[in-house]
Amino acid sequence: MSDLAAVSSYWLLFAKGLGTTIWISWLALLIGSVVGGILAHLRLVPARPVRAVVVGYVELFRSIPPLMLFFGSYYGVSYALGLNLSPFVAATVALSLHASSMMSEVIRGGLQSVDSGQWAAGRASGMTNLQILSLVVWPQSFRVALPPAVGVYIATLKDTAVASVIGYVELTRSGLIVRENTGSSFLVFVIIAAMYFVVCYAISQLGAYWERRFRIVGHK
Amino acid sequence: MYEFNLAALKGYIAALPPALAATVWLSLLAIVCSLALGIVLALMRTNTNRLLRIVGGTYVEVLRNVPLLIIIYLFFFGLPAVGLRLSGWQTSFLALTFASAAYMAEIVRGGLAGVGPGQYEAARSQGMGAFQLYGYVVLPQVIRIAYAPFGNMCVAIVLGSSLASVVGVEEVTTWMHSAGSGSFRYLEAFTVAALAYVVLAQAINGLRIATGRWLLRHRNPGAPL
Amino acid sequence: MNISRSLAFLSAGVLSLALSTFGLTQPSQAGSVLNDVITRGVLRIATVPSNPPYSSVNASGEPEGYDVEIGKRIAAALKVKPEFTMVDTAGRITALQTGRVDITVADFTNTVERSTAIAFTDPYAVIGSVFMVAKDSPINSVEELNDAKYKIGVARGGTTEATAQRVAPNAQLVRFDTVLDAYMALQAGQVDAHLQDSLKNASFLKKANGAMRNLDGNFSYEEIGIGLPAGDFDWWRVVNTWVRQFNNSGENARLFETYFGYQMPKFN
Repeated sequence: MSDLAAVSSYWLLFAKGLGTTIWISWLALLIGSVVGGILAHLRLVPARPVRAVVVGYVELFRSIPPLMLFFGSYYGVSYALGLNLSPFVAATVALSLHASSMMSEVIRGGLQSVDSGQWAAGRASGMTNLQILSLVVWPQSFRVALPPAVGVYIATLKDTAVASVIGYVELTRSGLIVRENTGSSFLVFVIIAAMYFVVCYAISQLGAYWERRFRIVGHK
Repeated sequence: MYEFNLAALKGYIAALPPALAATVWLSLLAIVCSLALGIVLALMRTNTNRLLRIVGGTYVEVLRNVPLLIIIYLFFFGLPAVGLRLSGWQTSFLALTFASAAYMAEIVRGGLAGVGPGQYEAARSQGMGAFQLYGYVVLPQVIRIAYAPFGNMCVAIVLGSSLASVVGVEEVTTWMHSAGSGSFRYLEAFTVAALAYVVLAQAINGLRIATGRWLLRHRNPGAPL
Repeated sequence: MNISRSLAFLSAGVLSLALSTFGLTQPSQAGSVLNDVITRGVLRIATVPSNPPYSSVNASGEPEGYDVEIGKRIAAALKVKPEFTMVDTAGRITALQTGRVDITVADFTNTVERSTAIAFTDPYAVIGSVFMVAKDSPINSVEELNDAKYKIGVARGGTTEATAQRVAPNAQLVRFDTVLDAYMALQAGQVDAHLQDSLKNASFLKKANGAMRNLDGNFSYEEIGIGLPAGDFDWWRVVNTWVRQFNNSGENARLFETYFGYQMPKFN
């Protein structure tokens, strides 16, 4: 197939696209985890307004389609604030916002899985809140939060495909460029789909492996 | 500083309800069809027949690990090359349905897994037929377990419908582009469109929470779920 | 370098010197784009991807094309580096309005309506709009195309969208994010016709090797110019000088032929 030969000559572009995809999704997950983690802990404070703000944030960014988030951070921000974000920065901001709302829920689930009896026991032993968190809650939450966190990473990685719409050159846009230059649609999209599948499937298998390894017999 | 002026969109607001209707219609159809397909897939995955399990499992794994946008592109631009030509709406609907069915399959499977095997035996020993077994024993428990992830999936489908704009379907995101470029007021158009999605998503969320309360209405505190 | 160009550059230099005496941290405001460009040492250019041969992104992710080359030459004339930002059809305007870029070179039609928001230079190309259909399409004229059962593919937010609506109001309009998506849709048979810029059309027709043909009729008169932020006469003066010389010296015709593959029709 001459199509296959033409498309294969762009293998470097595909590889670069895959690289940027993994890089930006990882970055967004990192930022999203930090922000999400802070938010999840903020939900534990007794002050109602604080919790309301956190819930508002999470619900807002879970209710807006990623496509709109990309448009908003690329065009909307520059309109409202006069800032000129490059496609990379705009895409990272959008992905991080979305990931942070998802990670906030995941981490919250992890924190909640530690039953309140442990908090009481910790306080009775004279531990400060910070000690309880770091010595008792976090190690246990981590096990519970890890499998859904892997899911969030995979979702973020898939969302990077939409970043192609604002011109960021990741795997999907690389595929579109190859399509422009070779005229071959079906083959290019099959290859791109296969690449996403391989990466996401591998990560999900890694997540499943971790889940088995970290599971404590008898624990939920 | 940019002056936010919603009134500038006045001429375009009239076009918003049809766009909303298009989004809702596309999402609703996709929800129903993906649930149906998801049930089929879940039954395949839990079947005794190994081939069915493998086919179902492969479908779910492939469609959960490929982005929706790629599936839409593949269906719209790629399929005609092998002879199948579908419209923008059709390809978006099919892509959304096939992709969501993979998640629905896992949701249904999770629900089914929550029904203990002893229940099937007990029901049969009572002389219940298949219809009674599934209708009175299995389904209520599956719904109780699965309604929450199902609600989240419905929200995901509504948000996913925004990608239909890439292949020319006239829905909310397309409206945003037209209104924004026509009035040169992109920020206002974006705000209105984002608000539309938030309202839709939160409405579904509200339904989910209300369903949860209704399902638990007879529960005594401390009674097992 | 001929006299007019050196004079333009000299006056640009004097102007920037004058402006810079107002302080190094002069915030960006109307009337100082030129100053910003020179100080920054970078000319920020907006263009669209997926619109060959005007502009597209090549295999290494670099922009290339007729418009891209124009942008590079203006930067060279000002002795600054070019920096390209990809925008979509509608973004060509907003990028200028928000000050994100200094010029937009993107198959950009100068309309009175757009001129209320941004400025345009004199045209460097004049185009019409032509419908393209597949070779074996049953459609033979625009009158036939003007039927509810046919779909016309256009890029969203550009002048072709308005022209298609005006010329064939009964046909269904399918809007895509980019020109190339619309053309690909035509190739895939997802739309029955594609309306586009007549110059680009001629270039595509050549590349399509007989797989496509045009319907008769040219449906618009459009001047393609370089977009500039509104309200800055000095910036306009500099860029427009470049455009005028680009046209009159024959450089435009030569560049056009390189990218489009045929001789540019005379327009001025």
